Amino acid sequence: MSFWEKGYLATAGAVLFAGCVYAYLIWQRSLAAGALVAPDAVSFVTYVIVIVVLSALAFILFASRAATNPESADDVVDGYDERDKLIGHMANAKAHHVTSFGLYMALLAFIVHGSGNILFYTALGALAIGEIAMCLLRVYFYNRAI
Amino acid sequence: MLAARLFLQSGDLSMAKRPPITNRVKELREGHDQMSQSALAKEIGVTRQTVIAIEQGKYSPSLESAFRIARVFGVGLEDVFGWDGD
Repeated sequence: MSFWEKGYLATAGAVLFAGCVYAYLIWQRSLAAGALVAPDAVSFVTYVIVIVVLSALAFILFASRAATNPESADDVVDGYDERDKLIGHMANAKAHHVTSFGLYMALLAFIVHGSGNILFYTALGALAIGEIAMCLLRVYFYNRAI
Repeated sequence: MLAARLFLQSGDLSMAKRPPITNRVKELREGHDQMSQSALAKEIGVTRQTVIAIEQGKYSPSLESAFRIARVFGVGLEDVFGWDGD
């Protein structure tokens, strides 16, 4: 598995982990309040920071490990080439459909329930699922003939 | 379920079969003083992973990279790449 594949899997894991923790916290608060609580800036910013920090740590870990291996060290140094760009383009195009579908569902939920809180959480979920899909599709395309 | 199947079967995801372009990159590289994949990658400006994918027939390089590969081995483009499709 290449450096980039490991990095994208780690990013998908980070988004999933942070999303689950965030959803659990909102669920707990909502149970205590007896209704769906409104999103707050502190939780949201923490969620974003957790994803960024976990992803960055994973990339640093994989890069430092790869640097000790003469063969894979080149993969880190050479970085991103034409195949990586093509795979990125293909994965983004597919993940875009996933995100769009989720956002349309969020809008539908808003029309049905009329709740801005539901709109926020479902839209955030759609973005997270779209990000996970993008990472997993990249790994998929790295292992398939393109 | 139908939407998921259509999504997986549509466009890029249906391109799992190998591209119809064949190549002799591995053969030429090994015949070029056992040139390493890393060395070839550096010569043509791609990563070693991309050279591996090209040799395995999982990726057809851009026209520019194809010309660079041919120039590294001092042969013509058609000596490196061939067409195996309809």
